[in-house]
Amino acid sequence: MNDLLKKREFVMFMMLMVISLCISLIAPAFLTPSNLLSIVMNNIILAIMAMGMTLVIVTSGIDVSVGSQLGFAAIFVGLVALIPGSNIFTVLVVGVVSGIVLGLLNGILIAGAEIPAIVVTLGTMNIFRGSLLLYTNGKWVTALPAWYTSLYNTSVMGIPIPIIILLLVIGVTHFIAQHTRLGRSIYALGGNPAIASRVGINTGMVTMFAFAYMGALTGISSILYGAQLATIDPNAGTSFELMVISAVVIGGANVLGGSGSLLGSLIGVLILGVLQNGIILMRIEPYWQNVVVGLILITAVTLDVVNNRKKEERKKVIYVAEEVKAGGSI
Amino acid sequence: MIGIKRSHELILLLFFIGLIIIMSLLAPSFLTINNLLSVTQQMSEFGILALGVTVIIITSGIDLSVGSIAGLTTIVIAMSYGWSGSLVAAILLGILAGALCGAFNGVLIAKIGVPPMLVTLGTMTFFNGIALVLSKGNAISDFPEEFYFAGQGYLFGNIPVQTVIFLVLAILTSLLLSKTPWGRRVYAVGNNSVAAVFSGVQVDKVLLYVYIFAGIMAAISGWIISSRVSTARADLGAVYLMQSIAATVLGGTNIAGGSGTIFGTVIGVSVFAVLANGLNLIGVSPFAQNLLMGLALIVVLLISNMSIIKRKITIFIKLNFN
Repeated sequence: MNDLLKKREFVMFMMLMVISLCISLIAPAFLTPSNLLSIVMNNIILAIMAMGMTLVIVTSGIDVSVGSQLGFAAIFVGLVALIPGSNIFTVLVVGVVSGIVLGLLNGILIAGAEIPAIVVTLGTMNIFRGSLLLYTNGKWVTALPAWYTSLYNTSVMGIPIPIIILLLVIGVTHFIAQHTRLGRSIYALGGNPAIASRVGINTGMVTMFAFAYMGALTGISSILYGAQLATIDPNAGTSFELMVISAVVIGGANVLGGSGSLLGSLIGVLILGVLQNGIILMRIEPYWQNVVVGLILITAVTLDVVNNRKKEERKKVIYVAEEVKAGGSI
Repeated sequence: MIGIKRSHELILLLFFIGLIIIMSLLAPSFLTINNLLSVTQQMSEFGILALGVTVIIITSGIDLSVGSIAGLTTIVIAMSYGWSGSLVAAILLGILAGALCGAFNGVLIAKIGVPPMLVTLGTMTFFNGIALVLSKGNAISDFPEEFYFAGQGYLFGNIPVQTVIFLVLAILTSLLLSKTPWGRRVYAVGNNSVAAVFSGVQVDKVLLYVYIFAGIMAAISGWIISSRVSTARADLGAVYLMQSIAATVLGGTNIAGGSGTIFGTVIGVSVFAVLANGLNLIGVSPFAQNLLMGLALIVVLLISNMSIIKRKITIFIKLNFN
């Protein structure tokens, strides 16, 4: 029980439950199956991208260009969907490939030229968005075909397609993170890059993979984005990167690298989604949303640091006690 | 290390001079006194923001909340003018609000030890939320005529007021960093905070003041923005956040801390301002500005990291083709 309380995911899960309880007491409409489903459906893209961002942050990187990547890939997907004869398969390929290309570009600059991730992605954020706006001249992509827009609301065996995609993404990411050499390398790299490269991990390749994988997931998200909204704005995804990073950070990933879990990030996404939904249902002025989200972020990261410090101090005490027992001098 | 830093500043300076030559060849109206003065006017707002950001990045920190602080300041100034009727009191309250926001960041970072990126990611949203709640999401624009002086006025005929404010603040910050013990401590903390502790530097105190300083700079920037656009709105200043960080890095401040100069930052800010102004004069789509600003950042860093890239390519070729 004590161990469970110390687990970050559990604490955040309890926080999610408390928030949900408070909301459902004030707004009975909150705890209905249809509302809960709509919370999930409205945050699918955030959840998919948070999976990729978790891996990136675990490697001690960060990607602030994902909002621009989302817009970039979404416009390309939309333009391809408009071409007669295109189908779900072509759209999927275009979305994922353009995402991977953008992500890989970040990865190459970070790993190859040793420019810090935040600086590279700050630059590419502007490059991606700028070239997209230049190319579209600010025009929206509209009149998307029905076969494409219906993608978001179609169900297979009673499960909406976006949820199936999300589950697949979670499954694949979990498999990579927990059951492959690559996943262990990602955690090792974030924990200590010098030691990771000394034990024979190709740190450059691992970094490039993390950013390319983030790009691939952004590409998948871009397909859902166009299908959900039926029109695509070249400014799509502006400052969405901050939502994604916030969700991952609330979920317990450390921006210094080495730690972070997919489950935690999913809880982070749900906390943001539930708050957004609850504030509307409770008829609180929407301006309060940022105050609450900001406070939750600050509280979560501060508690983390305080807890870690306590843990380290306890370790020190145990260490000193053992030294004394062993007859050593301090 | 010093050699690398010098070469970065040299590359940037050459890049900047080249940029000016290209712009003046393409747009004859670029190299006129009036236009150059208007360039300095355009760069002052995010230049002031970048001064605070530079000092923070030298300590190996980062501040994502400066844009939100600037926005909150505009609201505080507008509302306190509404209550008090005194412009001076309102502006001072606004700057005090900025200092308090910075202190809030500083306490969490310096005293509790939360990583700066996490703290300021949270406070970015939080301060913006407070500004939205205070203003109920509206823009406020009942200012007296005198308020517009800082953002729209001129000194000595044609020198924009905010240019003067920016220059004075830049010189003060530069002196603060290079001539005072506090400045040396800022570099010491950024270079190696453990070593700084053992040399008797009170790291937490230094960090706290650094974030308060950035808060004050953000507040001054917010004051000038709202004076220029004659409105107060919660999201004013948000657009300058990424630009000010990019300009600082472009100016040679190492994101890992320990090195960087205000001179470099001013050049970095100037590159962005000249790009925006020149492209505008040539008649290039404003959409291309984003693209070129991003490219400028990446290209300059690629050039200054050339030795690393060359080494990596040689290793790569050796491993794969020999």
